[in-house]
Formats: sequence, C-alpha cells, structure tokens
Amino acid sequence: MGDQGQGKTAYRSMVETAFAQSVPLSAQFEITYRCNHLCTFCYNSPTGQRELRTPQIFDILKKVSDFGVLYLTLTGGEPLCHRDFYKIAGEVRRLGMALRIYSNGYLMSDPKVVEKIMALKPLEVEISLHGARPESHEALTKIKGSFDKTVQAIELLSRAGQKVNLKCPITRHNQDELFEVRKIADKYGYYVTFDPVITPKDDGDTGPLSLRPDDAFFTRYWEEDYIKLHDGRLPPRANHCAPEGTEAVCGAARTGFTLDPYGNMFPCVAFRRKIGNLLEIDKIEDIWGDSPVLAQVRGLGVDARDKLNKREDGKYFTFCMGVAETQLGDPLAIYPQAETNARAVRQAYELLKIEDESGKKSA
Amino acid sequence: MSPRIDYPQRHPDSSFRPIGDEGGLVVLPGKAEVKVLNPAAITIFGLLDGAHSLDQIVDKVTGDFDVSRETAMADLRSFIGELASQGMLAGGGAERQEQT
Repeated sequence: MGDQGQGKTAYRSMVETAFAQSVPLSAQFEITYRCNHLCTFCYNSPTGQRELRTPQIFDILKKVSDFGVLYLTLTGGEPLCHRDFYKIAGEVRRLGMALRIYSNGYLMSDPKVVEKIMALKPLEVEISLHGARPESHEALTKIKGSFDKTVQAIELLSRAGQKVNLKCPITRHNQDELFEVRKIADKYGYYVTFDPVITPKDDGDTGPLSLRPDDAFFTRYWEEDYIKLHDGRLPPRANHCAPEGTEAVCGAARTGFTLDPYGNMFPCVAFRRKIGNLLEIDKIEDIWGDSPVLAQVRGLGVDARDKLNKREDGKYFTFCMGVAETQLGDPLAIYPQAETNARAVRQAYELLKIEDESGKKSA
Repeated sequence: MSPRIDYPQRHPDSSFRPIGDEGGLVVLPGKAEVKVLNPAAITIFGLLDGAHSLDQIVDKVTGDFDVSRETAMADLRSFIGELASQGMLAGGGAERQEQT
C-alpha cells in the first residue's frame, strides 16, 4: 500500500506534481541578519527595521506549517546568531516540518553546539566553505580563524553522523583550489556543490560581482574541471531550479518561498518581490492563490523559459530571474554571468562532443 | 499470541505532506531520506496519530477509496508492519500491544 515506486523517478514525479499545482514544499526563513562573519559578497541587505521577536517567529512558523510546508530551512545572516535559535528550530520540529539549517559553521566548532544541533534531528545542515585554506576562506569571511572553526564543525558533524552538504561559491580567491576543497569534502564523506555564479546584493549593489572568477576560469571549469570534480559526470547543459520539461524556468512562487527577518514573504531567496507580510495575514492561503505578485512571477517564469527556448544558445543557459531583476532591473534580461557560463558550457559540449543532456557522447 | 497495535502512531520525528491527488512525501526520522507514498498510504499516514484505531482508519479508507473492508484491513496491517520495520512508527503503538 505504501512503498510504491520508490527511487528518484517517483520522487521527481511528485516534485513535478507539486510544481504544476504550485504546492509549496519548502520555505526558507531568514530569522536574523545578524552574523559573525563579514562576507564581502553577502547578498543580505538589512533595512534597519526591528527584526521579528521570537513569539512573532513562532506565529509565522505556525502559519507556514498550517500551509503544509514540508521542508523548512533556517538561514540568515547566521541563524545560530539568533539568541533563540534552538527554541525556534525546536518549534520547527514540533510543528512536524523537516528542518534544514544553512550556516557558516563557525559556532558548530563547539562540541556542545553540535550536540544541541543533533538533538534537533535536522534533515541536513548546509555549510559554506570558501576555500581550502585559511587565506582564501578568510579573504571572504574577513574573520581570522574562521577557516579552522568551519573545518572543525564539519569534522564534528561528520563524527556525529549528521548529513551535511558543503557549498562553495566560486570566487577569484578560491578558483584555483577547488580540487583541494573537494578533498576536504571527501575526507569527511560529504558532497560539495560549487556555485559558479556570484550574485549582487538584494538591494542591487553589484559590488560582490568584482569577486567573480576570470573568464578563462569558466572555460577551464566547464571543459575540464567540472568533470574531474564530479567523478566524471558531464556538465549539465542547463541547471535551472525547476524540473526539465516544465513550463517555467524556476520554482519561484510555485514550490517554495522565502521569509525575511521582518516577516516579509518573497517568491524565492533570489527574487525579492514582496508578496506580503505574514504578520498581517491570518493564513498563507489568503495570499498564495490570489496574490498579483505571485501570478506575475509565475507568468514571468514561463516567459523566461520561452525566451530561452527561442534563443539558438538558450539550451546552454542556467538562468535566474531574481539575479536578472536585482542586477539589471528586468527579470527577463540576460545578465553577463549567465551569458559567460552559457558560452563556456556550449564550448565544452562542442569540445567534448556531447550529444544531449543525458551525457551521451558522440566521441 | 501475536502482537497487535490498536492505535498506531507515526514516529514523532517524521514529517509528511500530501501532494494533490497523487499521494505524498514522508521524511524518515533520523535519516536524510524521503519516501513517496500513494494516495491511500499518505491518507493513512496522516491518521497514524495514536488517536485513531485500526477500525477507524479502515472506515476512512473504505469511505475514500474503492476497496473492500477485508482488503483494506489486510493492506493496512501490512503497511503498518512495513512502517514499523523501517522505524517509522512511534513506541506508542508498541506500548499498546495486546495479546490475542
């Protein structure tokens, strides 16, 4: 009766259904913008408003849970910098949602903290690793000693048996040590996701873009490094946040949403068009179906997919409407990072004679 | 003598979500795994709250799905056994075991 069609196919089918029906499976909650790092490329843009008090966060979590969200990610800022982090995370679990934590790992270098994290039984913890050595990691975090603490956290979580995903945004500081980052991940049995796209801040400040790797790196990355870093797996032709073959380019306003520390709701972490404030509504259903912003974003997702489909090189694009809007003021505009990546991916496909996205090679 | 669970209860650490008419997803307690359930199974999983008896669950299933009471009860027992073997039931069910 229950265990039907297990495996990736059954799960993918369910996710596609959720996508088609705009059923929100996941939500990200930025519970604070406070942070113990000073990352130069951080996209957060605090407004100076007073952040939510803990009872207000509980109230919002109840609304999110009642709406049926399955995966709730606590993020920030650094979520562990919230003085009531454990109470909030405990409430997420008490409400029956699966907990994910996005952290810089700094505070998890303390065994007592890891013990408390483990007691929450998170589905996964995601930690940012900005390099394979202190100089590169700390060139971004601006906190001396942060590399050692983050690696210590990874080790403690590994020993405790916690599932951890490492993520490494690729910058000019770490572009030449990705294999060493992979070695750190391997040492602890974890997977590391390399992100080749640096985004502007939420307020449109493009300062972080100065950290992006040089163009020669992208050619090398897609033609050689990607395959070696991913155990022979060929580069994806496009890597959108939506299942291939679906009508929209991403799941914004469909399978998830993001909340900021003031209670504002957005279609996704990158697409910061305000839908409403959850302190001002009784239940999320009141805005999820009828919001003009959501309707517009869902339509834009389809438009973006159409636009890429019409381009001769569109199939090589990984495109984020949020980045386009933040950077260029137009969610359908092609931003330079997407173009650079698409060009390099296309070159790689031609060089490697890859026939289709399944990875089949002609030579 | 065989153990019987009259008021089964899903594991308190499990998270689940029905999705449309297709079924639903369950996140397994303590494991980074997601299980896909069909519509009847996700309905049942939602009723495994320690307050519904097997008979009450079967009433619901036979009301919602085209299945006989006998088949529904047999499938339900099988499903619960499966959940128990995968650590997806709370101790509460076992604590209410009865001898027959």
